[in-house]
This record gives sequence, structure tokens and C-alpha cells, in this order.
Amino acid sequence: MEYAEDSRRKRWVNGLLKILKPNKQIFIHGLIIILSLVIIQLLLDYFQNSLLLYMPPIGFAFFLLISYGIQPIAVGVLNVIILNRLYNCEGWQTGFWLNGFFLLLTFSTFNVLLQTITGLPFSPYIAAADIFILLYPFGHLGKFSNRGCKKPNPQQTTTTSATSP
Amino acid sequence: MLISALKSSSHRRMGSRTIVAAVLVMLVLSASIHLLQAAPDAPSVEWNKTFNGLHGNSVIQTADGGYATAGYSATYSTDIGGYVDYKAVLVKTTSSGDVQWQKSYGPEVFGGGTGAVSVVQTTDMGYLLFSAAGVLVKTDAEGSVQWNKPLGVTGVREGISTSDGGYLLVGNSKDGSGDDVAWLLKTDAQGSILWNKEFTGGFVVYTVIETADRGCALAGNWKNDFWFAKIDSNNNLQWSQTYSYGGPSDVHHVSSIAKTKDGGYALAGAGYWLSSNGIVPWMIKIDSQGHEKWNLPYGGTPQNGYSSVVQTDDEGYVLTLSSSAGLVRTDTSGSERWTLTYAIVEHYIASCLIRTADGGYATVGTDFGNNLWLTKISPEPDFQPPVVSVLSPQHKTYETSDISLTFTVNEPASWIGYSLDGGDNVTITGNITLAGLSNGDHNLTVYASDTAGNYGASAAINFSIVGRFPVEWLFAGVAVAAAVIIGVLLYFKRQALSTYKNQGFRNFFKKHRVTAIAENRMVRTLIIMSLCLGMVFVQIFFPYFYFSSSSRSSNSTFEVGVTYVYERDSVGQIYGEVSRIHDLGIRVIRVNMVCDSIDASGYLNGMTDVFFSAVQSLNMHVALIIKNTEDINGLSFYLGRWGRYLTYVQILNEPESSSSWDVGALFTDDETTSKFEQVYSTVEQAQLSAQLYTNFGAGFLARTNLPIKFSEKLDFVGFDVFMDSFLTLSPSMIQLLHKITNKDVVIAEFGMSTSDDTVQSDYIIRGLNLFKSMGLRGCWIVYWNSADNSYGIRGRLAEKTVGEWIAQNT
Repeated sequence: MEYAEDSRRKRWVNGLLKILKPNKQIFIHGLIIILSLVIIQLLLDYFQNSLLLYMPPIGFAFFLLISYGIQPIAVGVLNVIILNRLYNCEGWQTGFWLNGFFLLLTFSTFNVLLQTITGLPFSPYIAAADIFILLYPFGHLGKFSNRGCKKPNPQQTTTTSATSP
Repeated sequence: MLISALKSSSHRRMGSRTIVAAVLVMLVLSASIHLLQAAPDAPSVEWNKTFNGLHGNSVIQTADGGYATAGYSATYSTDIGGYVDYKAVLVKTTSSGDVQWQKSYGPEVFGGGTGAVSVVQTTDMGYLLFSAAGVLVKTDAEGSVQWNKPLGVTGVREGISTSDGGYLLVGNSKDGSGDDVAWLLKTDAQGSILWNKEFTGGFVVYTVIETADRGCALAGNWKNDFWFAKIDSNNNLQWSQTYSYGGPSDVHHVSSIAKTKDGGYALAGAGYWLSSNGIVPWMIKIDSQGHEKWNLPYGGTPQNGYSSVVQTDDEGYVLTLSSSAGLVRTDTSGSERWTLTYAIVEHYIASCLIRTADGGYATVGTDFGNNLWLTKISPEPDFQPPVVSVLSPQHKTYETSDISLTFTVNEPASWIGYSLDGGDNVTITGNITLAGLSNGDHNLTVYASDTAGNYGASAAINFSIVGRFPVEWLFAGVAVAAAVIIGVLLYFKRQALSTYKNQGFRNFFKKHRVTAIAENRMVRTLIIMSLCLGMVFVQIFFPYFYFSSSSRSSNSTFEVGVTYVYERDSVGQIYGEVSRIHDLGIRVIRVNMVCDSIDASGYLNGMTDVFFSAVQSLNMHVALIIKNTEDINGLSFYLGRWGRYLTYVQILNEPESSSSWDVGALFTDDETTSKFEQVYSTVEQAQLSAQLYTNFGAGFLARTNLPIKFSEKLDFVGFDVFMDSFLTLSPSMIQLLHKITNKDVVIAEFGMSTSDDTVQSDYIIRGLNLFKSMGLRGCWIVYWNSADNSYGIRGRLAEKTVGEWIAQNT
């Protein structure tokens, strides 16, 4: 009985460790996502005032569209592409925008917390901290926030097709 | 025998004349003893200073708390048996009476005659002397002559400054037939005569005051009677009244006028009763239309008169005797409360009595030995206990165990304590929170002791505490339930998947593939959306809770300011209000652009002169509000006249929220920017040393281009916070404003419109803590005074709590 419980607990721990275990795929996934978010944020910061001053309020609307429309979609698409490539998946479960918006909000919330507490500007301090601290978490988050379906085995597909009526 | 004499006297004479004569006879006998005695509630003499060889005519308290005394020096000539070689004299002393400097001015400056009769301090901290020979002498703050201007009159008795920046003089002359003529003359600030007025037919004037309606009142005598005249603000005689007592040979005159709190006037002077060869100090109380309410010949000091009168805070009077160093204090009906002999000196002539800023008095006079006496008398001893008013808790039921104890004490307290439920007194230093009170009924009394040792107690406050519905637990319960439900859902999902896995994925996908994927996607999407929502809330509210949780910044330069709408107050009130603001520890006063560019000597300009005189003397910073509708010509005038006193200049007010009622027609960015540029270039031309800023409201979020563009020319930016809910959101907005402008942020307008003193006070203190914690450069409260006082903090709980906060935090 005790052995059974120990065995179950061990399986849980092993499972958890397996999930959180840094591996190459998580690293690459997190690196690409976090780098893209940092670069987009740096670009937006750099061009922010120029955009806001452009034919007000069109520039302001354009800034909002980029920040909360185009950027999430881009990040969402990137995440799905990475997932499909790294994990041999196809398709997606969460919409591109929502997936990207979630990653963007996680990223910006962390930045708000960090900037509020430290009082430092995003560039270069918070950006550098983001890359070092959020690399693996964003690898996991990217995987958690969207998956897809395992690509069916081509052999199996062929066989199935062959046996289909 | 005395009684029978009085009785027979009363048969021979009628009315007050008889009574006065009898009183005179009776009190001559006890005069010397009476003068040297002072009642226990009389004030004391703080110091006496004598200046050899000088005669004192006038004294004022200066903005630095010292005194300026004007008079003359002269040499006695035995050849002619009189004084020669007159010089006007101005003596500046510290608040302790120590001489800082003394200046003499020869006849070539003051025009001969008998020196200076009056002195006033000017807005540039210099002085203006009124000479008896009709010359205005303007000096700088050190007494060096800047200019002098003969007015072409002689016999000047008194001169005063007026709220419009000009001066009023009164004096006497003779007409062709030898009759007395009283005259009244008005000049502007540069001494140019604006108008003059004569009263012919036997009028003699001794004194003049400015009245609340910006007119003036003058008094003296007409032939043998007391005389008082009221002039309106358009220089027209409103009414003139004589007051006749005694017989035709008895002479009376008014030496001094005091405005009274009931809108009337108190007249002090003397009656010369030739028949009894006696002089009687005399006081008359009249209403605003000159109707006599009572008159009192004062029998306590025979062979004397009154030379000055001032009204006290309790609407009584303090009068100085003209021929001895004595003060008489009366109640509001003129009955004596105490007398004080402030110097033992023979043949003393008292000239002037003033109230000092500490509530005491200062007098100036001259003795027979040619010595000027300057005397400082303390405030009256305080026998009144302090009045303690508890604002919170109130007589009601509370649903919290932590109750804010807020109260006010009407005077400085040396000790404060409270007793809860009849327990021992607990000493406190200010408002506190009574934490952890048990459910049930409670009673509370707050005690205070003033600096004179008088103890006062508040009324007992009865309040109750009942248990509150635990909202926090409800939220926590809901959150836990939601987590459990999500966990259970996920568990069953996994169980189902395990089952399907055991049965084989092929069968599972065959049977349920579409459904399973849909469910899976829905759950995942819901989780992600919930997390997104949570993170939005974190982003919005985290800065507020983080900075509010405790003090994060030790920014010692955090400036607390207040917007003072001084144009809503009277001229005479401004100095006191600025001083009161200063005493709270507030160092920035934000003001509207109050001026009259058409009439340089207009009333509004005089008001602003007084305001800047006050802030200069108290070394305070002034932030000028240039509203969106402000006239550029008016702005140029204002900056030219007062610009050098400004520390901050606000260019436009919330330009992003421009609307027709607020700014005329600045709807578009181009119009707003054009107005900004126009104001900015005007300010730049004035070459001020002031820092420039523009304040924005929350509307800047929709018009971010304005702060970005304007901030290029600004030293810092302002942000306005008005509502409690808005205070919670303000840190995020301030961070954004700072980010897009890259400028320091000051909270330029921070206030709340409410009639609830406690709510207003709590809100302001929370804001001050928050903004200081954020490291902002300051927070300026709106308002000190407002039209309905819903915004104003003056006289409300917030005034006290803000003062305490500043004392503890800056």
C-alpha cells in the first residue's frame, strides 16, 4: 500500500519535473518569444512619441492598433509557428490574437511590476532583466497558451487512407 | 458732604454734564493710585525702549515682525523759547525693540514743519513717510530716500495707505476768514494727486481710515462737537454727523477711529470741559450709518483724553490715554475691564497704539525730556480653556473596529489626551486611529490644555461598533470555490483523457474528437482570458497599492502647495491668510492672474500688491495660473509688474480638455497649440527666472500629442487629480505622463469637493502619502478657499491634518 502511494507520488514529482525541466525546445521557444517581445517593445518606445504626434489623433489610434492589435497577432502567429516546428504539431487551439495578447500582457505586467518597484526605465535595464528572467518561463507559457495537435504519423495516415473505403 | 454736593450739583446742571463733573472731582483724588494699579487679567509690558532726542508720532509693525517708528528730532532754543532745527526721523527696530537703523531727513527732504506724522510700509518693503509739511518721502527698505513729492498742502495730521496702492492724507488749514478747513487728499502709489476734498466752515480733522467698501472715514471736530464723515469709493460724501454733548463752551474732538466687527465704528477722543476745567477721555460707538449707540466719558483718568483705539478679538476695545502712559481695556459696551500703566514717566504724550501680530499691542509716545518711548505690551492673559471639537467618531454606529479619532482645538495646545469608556487619559499628539475596538457601546472624551495651562474637554461622544459582514472572506471564498471548480474540471478532464487513453486514442478520437477539442479549446481560452483580465487589473492597480502601502521615497524636496483664490477675500484678510498657509508648512501658493491692466492703480492690482508683499515677507513660492482664456495684454502687464516674484508659471490649464465654456474656442490642436505658443512667447519675453509647467487632466490619454509637444518648452508637467476613484488610477497615468514627456511631474491640482470634512481630510492625506511615495516633486492642493468651500480646506479638518502631515513628512 505504502509502496503504491510512494510510487504515485514519485510519478507526480517526476511528471512535474519533466514539465518544468529546461530543455532545448523550451529554451529556443522562450528565447524567440521574449526576444521578439523585447524588440517590439524597444521599437514601440522609440517610435512612440513620433506616432503620437502624427496627425493627431490618427497617430494615437495607429499606436493603439499596433500595440494591441498587430503586435499580439504577430506574437500569436510566431508562437504557433514555433510550436508547430519545435513540437511537431499542426493547427492551434487558441486564436492568434488572444494567444499573443496573453503573452504580451504577461510580459508587460512583469515589466510594470519591475519598473514600479525599481523605478528603472525599460531600456536597457528592464529589457535585459526580461531576457534573463523570462526566457524559460516564456518557453513554458508559449507552450501552455497554445498547443495544437500532434501531426499524424505519415505512415499511419497512408495506411488509414488505404484501408478507408 | 460729597453726596450733598453732588445732589445740589445735579439740581443746578442737567444731564451728563453734571455726572461728568462729579466724576471728575471724585476721581482726581484717586487718580495717581488708580493709574499705577493693573487688574490681574491685564497684559504685561514686554519691553520699553527709549530714544533720546526724538519725538514719536507713528508706529507700524513691519512685515519682518519688527517696528518702524516715525517722528522728528528738534533742538530746544532758549533764545526763542522753542524748538528749532526740525528733522524727520524714521527708526527701524527688531521685534525686540533693538535698533536696526535710524535715519534723519532734513527740511530739504520733508519740507520743513514738524517732521513725519505717519509712516506706512510699501509693497517693495520700503517705507513712505507723510510729513506735516505735506511731502511724501519714499525710502527703500534701509531708509534711504528714493523720491520725495510735495503735495502743496500743509498741516498734515495723518496719512495712510489704501488697498488700491495709493495714499490718503488728512490735514487742516484756514480759509480767508480764519475759519478752520479740513481737507482730504488722495494720491496714487507714485504720489500724484488724484483728488482732494475740503470741509469748510469750522471742521478740524485728526484721523482717517479706509473702510470696507473701499471708501474712507475721517473724524475730528466741528466747532465744539465731535465730528465724523463717511466718504464712498467714488470720493463722494455719503454722510457727515456731529455729536454734541455738554454746554456750548465745552469742546470735543475725535482723535482715532476703529472699524468694528458689527460694521460700525468706535470713536475715541476727549472732551474739554471749560466750566470744570477738566479734560475727559471720551468714546462713542456708532453704527455703519453714524447713529450713536452709546457714548462714555471715562472718569478714570481726569485731565486726559484718548489718543488711539483698537478693537479686540472679543469686540471689546483697548484705548491709549493721550497724556499718560496708560491703557484702558473695555468690554463691548465700553465698561472698563482693566487699566495698565505701561511706563512710570511724567508728562507723557501718547501718539499711537497698534495691535501686533502676536495679539499684543505696541505704543509710541514722547516724554517731557524729549525722549521717544516705544513700548511692547503682551497679549492679554489667557483664562479661556481651549475648545475641543471631535469630528470623528460621531454619535453613530460603526461597522469597523478601527475608528479614526479626529478633532480640532481652537488654539495651540501643550497637551492633548483622550479617555475611552471612562478609562485613564491617553496622551496623543494629534489625530490617531483607535484600533481594535470591541463590539458594543463606547464613549469618548478628548481633553486639551493650552499653553496658559487652561484645560478644555470635548463633549462626550457616544458611539457603537457592530460586526461587519466579512466582504473579504466572501471574496476569498468565491476565489477558492472558483479554484476548486477549475481544479475539479481539470481533474475530470484528465480522468476522462486517461480513460480515453486506456480505451485507446483511436477510439476516443473516432467517437469524440470534435467535441473533445472544442471543450479543450474552450477551457484553455477561458483560462487565458481570465488570466488576461487579471493582468489588466494588476497593471492598472498595482502601482497604486505598491506606492500606497508604505513610504517608498525620501524625496525631501517634495513641495506641498495650495491654490489660494485671494480675490474672494478682502484686502485686509490676505496677509493673515498667507501667513496662516505659511504656518501650516505649505511653501507654494498657486494663484489666479488677478490684475487690472487698464487701471494700474485699480483695486485688483492693489490686492495683488498686498498678496505679493505677504508672500515676499514670508519667503514663499508663487505659482501663477495662466488660464486658457487669459488676455495677452493683461498677462504682459501682470508679468511686468509681479513677474519677478514668481517661482512657477502655469501655461494654460488642462489644455487637452479644452471646451467652449472653458477656453473660448480652442477645440482643435492647432488652436490650443497656437494659444500655448502665444502665452509661451509672452512669458519668454518677460525674461523671468520662473519655471514653466502645464497641467493636464486624465484627458491627456486621448490627446497625448499635447503634453509631448508642450513639454519640449516646459521645465516640468502637472497632473490634476480630483476624485477618490481617480486617485487609485492616478499612478498609472502619472507614470505614462512622465514616460511620454520625460519630465518631472507635480500634482498641480489635488482636491475633492465634499462637505464631509473627514472624507476630504482622509483623501488628501492618502494622496500626499501616495505622491510623496512616488517621488513626485510636489502636490498642490485645491483649494485653500473656494466659493462654497466644498473644495476649500480653510477652517476644516484637512487644514489641521495637512499641517500635521507636512510637519511629519517634509
